[in-house]
Amino acid sequence: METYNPLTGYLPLALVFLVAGGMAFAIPLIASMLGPKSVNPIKSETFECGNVTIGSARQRFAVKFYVVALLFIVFDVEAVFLYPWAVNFKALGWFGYTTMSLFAATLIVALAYVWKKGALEWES
Amino acid sequence: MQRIGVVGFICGLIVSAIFGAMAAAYGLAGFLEKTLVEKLGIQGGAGIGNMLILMLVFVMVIATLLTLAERKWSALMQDRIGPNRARINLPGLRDQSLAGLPHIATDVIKMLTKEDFQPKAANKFLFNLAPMLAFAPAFALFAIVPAGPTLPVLGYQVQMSVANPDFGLLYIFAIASLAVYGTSLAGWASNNKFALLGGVRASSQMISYEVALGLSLVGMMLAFSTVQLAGPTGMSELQGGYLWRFTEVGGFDVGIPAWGFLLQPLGFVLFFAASFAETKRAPFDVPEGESEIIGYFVEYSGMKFGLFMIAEFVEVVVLAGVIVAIFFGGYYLPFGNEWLKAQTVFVEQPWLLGAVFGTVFWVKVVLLCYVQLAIRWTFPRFRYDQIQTLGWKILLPVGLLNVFVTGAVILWALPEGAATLPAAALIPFLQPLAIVGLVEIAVVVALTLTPREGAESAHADGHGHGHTDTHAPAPSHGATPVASSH
Amino acid sequence: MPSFSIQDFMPIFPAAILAVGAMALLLSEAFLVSVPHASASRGYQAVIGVITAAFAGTVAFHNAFEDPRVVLQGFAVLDPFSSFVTVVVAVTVGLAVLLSAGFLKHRNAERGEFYALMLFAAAGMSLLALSAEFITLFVNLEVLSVATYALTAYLRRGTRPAEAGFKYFILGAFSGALLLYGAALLYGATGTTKLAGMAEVLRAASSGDKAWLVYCGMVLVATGFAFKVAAVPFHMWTPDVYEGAPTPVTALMSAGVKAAAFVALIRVFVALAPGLGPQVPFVLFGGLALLTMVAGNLMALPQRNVKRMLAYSSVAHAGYVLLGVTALFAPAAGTEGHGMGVLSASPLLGQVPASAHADIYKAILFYLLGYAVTTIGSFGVLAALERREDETRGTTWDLDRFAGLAHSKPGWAIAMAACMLSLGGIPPTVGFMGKLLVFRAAVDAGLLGLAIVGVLTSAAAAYYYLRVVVYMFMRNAAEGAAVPERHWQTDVALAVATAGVILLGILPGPVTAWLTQATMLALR
Repeated sequence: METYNPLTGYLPLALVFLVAGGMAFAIPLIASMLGPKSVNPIKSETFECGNVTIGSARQRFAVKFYVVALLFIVFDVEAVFLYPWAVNFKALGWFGYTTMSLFAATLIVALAYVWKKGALEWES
Repeated sequence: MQRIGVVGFICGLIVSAIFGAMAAAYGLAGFLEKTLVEKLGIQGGAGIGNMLILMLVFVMVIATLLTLAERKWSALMQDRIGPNRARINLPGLRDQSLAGLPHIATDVIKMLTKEDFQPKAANKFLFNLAPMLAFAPAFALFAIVPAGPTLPVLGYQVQMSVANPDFGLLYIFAIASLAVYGTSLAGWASNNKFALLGGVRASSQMISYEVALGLSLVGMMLAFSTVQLAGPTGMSELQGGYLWRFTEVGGFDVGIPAWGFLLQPLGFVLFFAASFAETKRAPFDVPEGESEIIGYFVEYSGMKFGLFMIAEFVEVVVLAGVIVAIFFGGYYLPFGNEWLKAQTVFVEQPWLLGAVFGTVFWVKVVLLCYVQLAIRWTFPRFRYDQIQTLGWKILLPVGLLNVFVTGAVILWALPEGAATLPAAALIPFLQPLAIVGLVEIAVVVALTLTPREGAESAHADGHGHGHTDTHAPAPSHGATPVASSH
Repeated sequence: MPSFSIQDFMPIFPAAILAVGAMALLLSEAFLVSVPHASASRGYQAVIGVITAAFAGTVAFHNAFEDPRVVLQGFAVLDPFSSFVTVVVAVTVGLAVLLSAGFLKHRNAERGEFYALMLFAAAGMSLLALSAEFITLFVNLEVLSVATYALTAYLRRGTRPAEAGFKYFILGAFSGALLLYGAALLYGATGTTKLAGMAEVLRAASSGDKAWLVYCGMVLVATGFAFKVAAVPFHMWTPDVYEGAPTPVTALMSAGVKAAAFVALIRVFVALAPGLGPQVPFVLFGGLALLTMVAGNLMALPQRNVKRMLAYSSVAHAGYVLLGVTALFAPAAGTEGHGMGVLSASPLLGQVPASAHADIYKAILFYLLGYAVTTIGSFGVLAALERREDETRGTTWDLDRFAGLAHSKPGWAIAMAACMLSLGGIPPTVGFMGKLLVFRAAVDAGLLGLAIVGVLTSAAAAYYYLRVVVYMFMRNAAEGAAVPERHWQTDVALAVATAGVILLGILPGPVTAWLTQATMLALR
């Protein structure tokens, strides 16, 4: 019986990352070597279905997307906090359940607030 | 009749191919594990072998075949024939369409030999990075999904997943959320307004559904007290147990298995919807929206576009695999597992048992891929506000509710001192959970099918338009606009 | 499974009350206000805020008489100090809410979220004061910080609030990261995040193999706190942020945040000081105190903008508190290792304190209380005098606004005068008593030099504080100077603050007696 080394399980994972990254890098590289090269100014214009492009795309867009990003942080962190509880849930029993309910309740208040405030409306 | 025969033959061929490949997978995994331990003294050889067979062969081949299957299937649904023109210029095959199979090869060759083109205005580095960031996480996702049980091969315990880290499912969440970088970077780096819009929509949609995705699996974690998929206490293994064990006919066990979708029907629906949105396929394909904005990859061509596309199909396969592992019993049959395990041939040759179970797993995966194709070509595209409404106003609250109802039911059903028992011994105590789960789903279905009476009466009272805020929409109705009957 | 009793949750009740009140306000804003921009229906919100603060303060007051103990498995402590700070915070936030009511109504910016954020910040302060573990401490520091960032930029139409909010956010995040990094190093050195555990490990550490980790961690943590309490040279954000923030928020920041951050700072360093490197905090805080006292006062001298002047004055006062903190770690204050664990969980570990420490703690806490009351009063008058129309001209807080105030608004002038005297440390005000206690403690601890610097700088400070009084009482108002509106809430808050300033100055007895008793009890 060898001593348990927690890192051995990660060797295949590291290889997976290597292979995934390698494939993602190699495939376009091969394609760029195989393909023809014929650059011309019209072709390297921004493609807007044939219309002449006006201005740059580096401009502001709707603030709603930022709101969604903020909400995502809040509620995804909530979900993350639920995982350790879920794994130890049977040991923690009703005490843990109540505690997590209170935790979730505060976030439900947040959701209710956000909802009622109209941050989730996209039509208006 | 002949057609049925052909289909049956092809199905048999596919199943036996899977069986062979899985047998080879166990063999290779065992061999590599043995070699690495004996020569280098490190463990993990099985994982490397599994990476080669499961990820590079199974996932990639199924994903590649899906590109054709998708087109063929959509053609079938739309009463067309679909791709059938590519031919192999060999004697005997010259006039055969081969069900369009040569199209896969021609697609690959086409994309590889297209010009590697970058628009002038794009940010070159990020433009090239984005497809890689879209593909690599999708590919790496499958690493923790077990395609078969852990069995002794060549004297070593061989697991049939690439890795089985302690954090299990968290790996999926972590890696899957990396995919958002690929899409948002693609949208931004292209410096194209349509691409930007697509990228922003994509990232916004993906992060919105990630919340529901994260919550939907908490119920399963509560039920099985683990986040691992593989291994002796992983979710896949635990689903081999029975909730209700009816009888045994000559040693053949029959019962209702502890499959995830029975314990957590709501969790399953939430997970399926959320992860479907994560793959950005119709009906959640507004980031792409080919009829309006084309999407975040509008400026991409050739193999870089190909990476986005293949990443999508890899995601379909991985999603099917994850769902099978969590909700559909993993590599187990619904009944007869114990009977199978007790057969002499399988006791003597465990790898054969592994190959059988592996085949079961991949058949389930292929069926789920088919379900996803069917959904993709059945539903019309959601509007963007509908997508956000579904994510935040329906899936998130329902997910939270599901977590806490599940928790209460489990705690209520558990016996004293349950924490000290092994997870497998607790499965029969999950029976109430299965009952509650079915009730949950019945309530949701009933709510969905009930006509919206509040809206009707509001009209009858003559309030007319503009009062939609006076009656909060029932969750299951979402943003359905109130039809005007005047 | 860990077992908890209701007793474990006692200390967090005030914070829980504040948070529940804040949530109620949030929901009221979302569900009760039918017309989005009507300010008429929002009068109840300030009342809810004040009631919540009063309730929380009462519970904290009750907690103050509990036996000191470690609760929640060493993550928090219930001792008179945390309860005392919670009371101070509750009083501060209650008065700040009252000030805000008039202030916001005048700007037509009254919203439930504003009060909710204030209460959330107060909850963070209260929890920060009782955290005895680094992760808890950091989370609570962020709770209060994030709430104050948002409050700073609350009047978002102007450029100043936006600038202030952004500056505060960036620097606050930066300092938070420093603190976290320091905490990580300390965790690496000791293997625990609990302060009591750290103290034990550090005391037991014989060799200095991890000493550098501890030193670096200490310096980083001290830097993080120094940002929060606005000690020189980490004070750069203070004038801009204090000026840009809505004035009631400035009052809350300079009173509440400072008090909570100081108690957390003391708790952390009292736990870390014994064992490895007992001199490090002494040198650190001695240097900070010296710089802060001198630079804060010098920079306040030329200010004609009263709000900026008060901001620099707040920096200077941080210096005086730091003087007290330095006295805690002075080598002369007792033989090494004694009494170092007073505010941490370690009194339970049977430490024998030097009696001098009790006086120092008493001085620091009394100073924090006095400064909180005074700063609320002074910023309160400032808030009352502000007019929305002046903001574009940049003369909102000019000294001239105070000219002739004694004639037009004698009540406010008296309040401001009392606060200015108190800030300057002139009897019969609470500021005088506070300074007296701190300086005496510093002298007792052997810090004669620093104490002299303190006395000299506060003498210099009298110039710019008294200048305001001179303007109010001896100058005539400019022609056509507009008379600001009155709101009863503002008047109540000012009356309470002024009463506090004067009463605590004349009769500090009950409070100091209680502090002495409580300190002794905790040190036992």
